[in-house]
Amino acid sequence: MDEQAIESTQGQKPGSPMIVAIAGWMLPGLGYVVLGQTWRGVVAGTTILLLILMGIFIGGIRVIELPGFDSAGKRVVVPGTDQWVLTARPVPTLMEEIWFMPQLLNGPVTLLAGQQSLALTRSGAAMKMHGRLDDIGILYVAIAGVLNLIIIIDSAHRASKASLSETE
Amino acid sequence: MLLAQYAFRPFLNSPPIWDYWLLLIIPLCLGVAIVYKSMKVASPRQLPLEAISTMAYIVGAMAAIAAAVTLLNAIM
Repeated sequence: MDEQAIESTQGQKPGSPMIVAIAGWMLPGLGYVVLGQTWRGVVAGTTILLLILMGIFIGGIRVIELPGFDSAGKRVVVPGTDQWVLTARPVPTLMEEIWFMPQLLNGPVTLLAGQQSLALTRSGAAMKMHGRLDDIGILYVAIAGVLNLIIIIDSAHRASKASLSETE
Repeated sequence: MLLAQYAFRPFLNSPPIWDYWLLLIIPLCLGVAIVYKSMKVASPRQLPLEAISTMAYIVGAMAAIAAAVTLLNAIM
């Protein structure tokens, strides 16, 4: 591993680690861009967005499914009430759609794709695929989310180091 | 009607690549390698070679593990 590369803060703008982390979640790679490491952000962010796109291409848009909705895209309510399961019982509902959690690490891109998936499910345009290709598509988007988490942590760490070296 | 709904439509239904699903590991590993190496390298010029070698390591290691598990399964 290239220690110099990790330690290098040349050409890096100081930034708040929190702002850098939030920017990285809002759009993959944006945290690096905020720090002034544009090429790093563009390469990592574009690769993550391509992985999401490939996952949707392989398994169809329904590889991203918002929790709390049934297979027809209707809100699931707690029996006997009109309470939405996601607000009434968030933990078990999220556990049923556990793959949505790593997918959500991609940021609003996942929420927008999930919204689109829901709309296409309701209109009957998108069918739920089953089998390996669906699993692989889900995995692509989930791994993209985990990679985004890793670059969020790295960019926030670089931001904290840059602000530390500025104060010294 | 149902068959027509399952027919390939880009980004809505899966493409007909069921027989080649194992090859889908290569672009995934390449993506992982590019993102990982983009954090580590100092210059973008180093990235292509570093990413390809990391991808080869990941694919090679997974193939070796698969071969070992298959062998173990055959023996036991």
